[in-house]
Amino acid sequence: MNKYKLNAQKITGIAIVSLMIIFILAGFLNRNSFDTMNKELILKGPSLLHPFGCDEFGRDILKRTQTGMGISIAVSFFSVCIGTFFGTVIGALCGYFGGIIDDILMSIIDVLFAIPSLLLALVFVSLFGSGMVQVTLALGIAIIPSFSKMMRSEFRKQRELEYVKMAKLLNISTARILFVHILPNVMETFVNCVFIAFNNCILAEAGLSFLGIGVQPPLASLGTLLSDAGGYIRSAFYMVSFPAVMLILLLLGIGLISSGESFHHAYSKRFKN
Amino acid sequence: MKKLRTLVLFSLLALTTVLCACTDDKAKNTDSITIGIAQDIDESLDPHKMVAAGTKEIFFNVFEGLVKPDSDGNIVPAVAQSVEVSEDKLSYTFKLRDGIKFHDGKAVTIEDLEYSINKFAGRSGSEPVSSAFSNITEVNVVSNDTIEIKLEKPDSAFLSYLASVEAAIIPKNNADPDNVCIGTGPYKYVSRTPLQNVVFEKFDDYWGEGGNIKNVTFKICTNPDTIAMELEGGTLDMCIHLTKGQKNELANSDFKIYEGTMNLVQALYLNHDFEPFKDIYVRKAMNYVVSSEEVMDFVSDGYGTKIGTSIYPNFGKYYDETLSSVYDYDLEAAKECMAQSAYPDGFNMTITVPSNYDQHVDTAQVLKNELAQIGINAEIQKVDWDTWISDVYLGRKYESTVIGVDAANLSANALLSRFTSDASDNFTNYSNLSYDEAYKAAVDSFTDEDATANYKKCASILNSDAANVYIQDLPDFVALNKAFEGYTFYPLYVMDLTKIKAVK
Repeated sequence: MNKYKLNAQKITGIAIVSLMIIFILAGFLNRNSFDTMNKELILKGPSLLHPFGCDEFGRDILKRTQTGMGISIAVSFFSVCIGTFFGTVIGALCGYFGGIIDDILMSIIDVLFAIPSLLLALVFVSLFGSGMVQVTLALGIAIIPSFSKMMRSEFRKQRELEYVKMAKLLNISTARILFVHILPNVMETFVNCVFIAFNNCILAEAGLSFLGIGVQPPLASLGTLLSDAGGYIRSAFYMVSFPAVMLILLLLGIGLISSGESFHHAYSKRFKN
Repeated sequence: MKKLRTLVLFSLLALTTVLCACTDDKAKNTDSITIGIAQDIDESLDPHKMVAAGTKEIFFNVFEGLVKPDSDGNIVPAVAQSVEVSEDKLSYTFKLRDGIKFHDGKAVTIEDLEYSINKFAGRSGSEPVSSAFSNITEVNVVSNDTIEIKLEKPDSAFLSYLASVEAAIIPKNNADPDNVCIGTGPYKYVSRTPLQNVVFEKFDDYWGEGGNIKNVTFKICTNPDTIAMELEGGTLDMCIHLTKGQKNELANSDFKIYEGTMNLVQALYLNHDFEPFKDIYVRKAMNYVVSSEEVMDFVSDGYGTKIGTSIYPNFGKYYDETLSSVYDYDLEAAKECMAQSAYPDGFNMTITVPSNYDQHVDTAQVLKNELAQIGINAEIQKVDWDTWISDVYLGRKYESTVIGVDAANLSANALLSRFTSDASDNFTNYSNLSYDEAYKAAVDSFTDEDATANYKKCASILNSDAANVYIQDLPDFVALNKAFEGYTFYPLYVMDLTKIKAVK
C-alpha cells in the first residue's frame, strides 16, 4: 500500500497521536491513584508532585486525565469497530446488489439518519441503562447510518468497473469480490470515514458523559472530567483547562491524519500515475 | 462596492448584537424574579398527588391547607379562620375564613372543603396521601362555614398533617385537577414548559398579606455547572440549594448568600430486600466506617449537621443529639462487625444516585472510598431524576441510594411513618416489629409528652438497628440578587415567595 504518501499534515497528526498514546501509557507509571481522595489537596494548583493540580476531592488531575483519555479512546475504538463492521457490510451489500435489498435497508438507514446520532445514543442509553458498555454500543450503532451510506456509494461506483465484471465472469464468489477485490480499492474513503467516526465518537462520548450517562464516577473520561470541572472554571481553571487541551490535541491529531489526503486529491493522483 | 455593503451590513449586525447586551442592570426589573430550581416539577398538578420534595417546595406558595406552617414552625390558620379541638381530642372544628377566594375568583365554599378533605384522606375511593389520614372517621358539614373532622383515635400531630401541600384545599368543580391548578395561596400557577420553566403570578385577592413580586418564573437548571454563570449573567435572580462550588464562585458577586439547613435527612438509604443489608452487622459496620465529618469536608466545605437517625435538628423536641455520635468513625469496630457478619470478606453493591443532585453524587463518591476500607465494593450508578423516582422511590428496584428525605409537615410522622412495615412510601422496605409497635404507640398517644417519648423511641430504634447509613442534614445556601431581600428559611423544605421583596 505504498499509495499512501506521508505529507506534512499526516506526519504532524501521527506525531501528536503518538504523543497522546505515550501520555496515556505514562499513566501506568504515575503513582497517584485516580480515585484516592485527599483533604489536604482539595483544589490545590499545579505543583511538582501534581503537575496538573488537584480536583475538588484532592485527586490528582494528571492521573485522572490519563485514565480518562484511555477510557475515552477505548470506548471510541470499540464503538468505531462495531459501527465500521456493520456499516461496511450493510453498505457493501446495498451498493453491490442494489434492488430491493438496497431499497429496504437504505430506507431504514434514511430514517435513522433523520435522528441525530447523539439523540440515538440517548434513546439507546435510556432503554438499556447507563454504563460504559451501553455507551459503546450506542455510539457504535449511531455510526452505522453514515458509514453504510458512504460505503454504499463507493461500492456502487466500483461494481460498474471492468475489474469487478471480470471477477464475476471468472466465477469468483461474491463475498470474495466484495471484501477482497473491491474493499482495498475503496480504502481511502474507508480510512477517512473511520477517522472521522473516531473523532465524532470521542466528542459524543464526552457529550454523553457530560450529561451524566457515560462512565460512572469515580472513574473518569474526558467528558466527565470536563463536566466535573465546569463548576470550578473560574476558581480553579487548571481543572478544566488541562483535560480540555488534551482533548483538543487528540482530536486535532486524528483530524490531521485523516485529512492529510483528501478523497478527490487521492483520485486525481491515481489517474496521473 | 459589494464588499463594502457586506461589510457595513455585517458590522451593523454585530453592533446590534453587542448593544442588545447592554440593557439590564440599571433598570433591573423588580416586578419579576427568576428562580433556578434543580429539577422539573411532578407530572401532575394535583397537590394530593405530588411526590417530589422540590415540587411541594414551590407549590407551597400555590396551595394551602386548612392550616399552614410559619417560618418558626408554628401552625397558623390558613383556609380555616380558626380551629377548635374538643376535650377528648377526637373532634376538630374548622371555621371557614370569610371572603377567601380560589385563584379562579370563585369563593371557597364548605363543599370544597368537604370534597378536598375526603379526597386527600382517601375517603372518596383514592389512596390517602398519608396513612395518618386513615384515622379520620367522619367529615361533617356543620353549617355554611363550619366543618368538623372526627378522628378514631387522638393524634397530637393531626394539625401538622393538615398544614402541608398534600392536604391542600382545592375546588370541587375542577374536573381535571391533574392539569388545571387552582389553589388559595398567595401565588397562582400560570403555565409550565416541561424541562424549561414554571411560571407563577401574584394572586391579588389573597386573603392575607400576599407576595411583593408580581411575576415569578422558576427556571429548571438541570446542569449544576451553569448555575453560577446564569446567576452572574443575569438570567437568574435567585437560586436555591447551591453547592459549595457554586457558593464559592459567587463569593465576590452581586449576590447575597443566605445560609441555613436544607431540612433533609441525607443518608445512604439501604434497600432491606437486598440480601447483605438484611444483616444487622453489615449495616452497623457500614455506619461505623462512614464518617459524616469526612463527607462534610469533601462535599460541603465542612458545613452540615451530623445526624444519627431520621430526624433532623430543626425538629426540636423530637431530635436527640446523642444519637448523632453513636456511630462515630471507628474502623476497628467496623471491621469487628464485618467479621461477625455473613460477609466477612465484603460484597459488591450499587449506589444509585440522581445525577442532577451534585451533593448526592459527590457524597456517593466519598462513601465508595470509605466503604472500601471494610471490603465493600460499591459501584456508583448515576440516573436521571425521573428514573430515580420511578425505579428507586416508587419501584424500589435498587440496592442503595444517596438522597435527602424531607418532611412534608412538622410532625415526627412525616419522617418516621415511612419506616413502618406496611407504609406505602417505605422505599427502603424496612421492617421491624418493635419499630412498628413504638410508632403505633406514638400515634395513639393521648398526650404530647407520651407521643414525643414514643417518637424518640422510634428514632432511637432506627439508630440502634442501623436501618440506614445516616449522614447529615445538608447545609443550604441560597443566592439572592442584591436587588431583592428577605429570603427566609423554614424548618420545612419549603420556599416562601411572599417573604422576598425588592430593595427600595
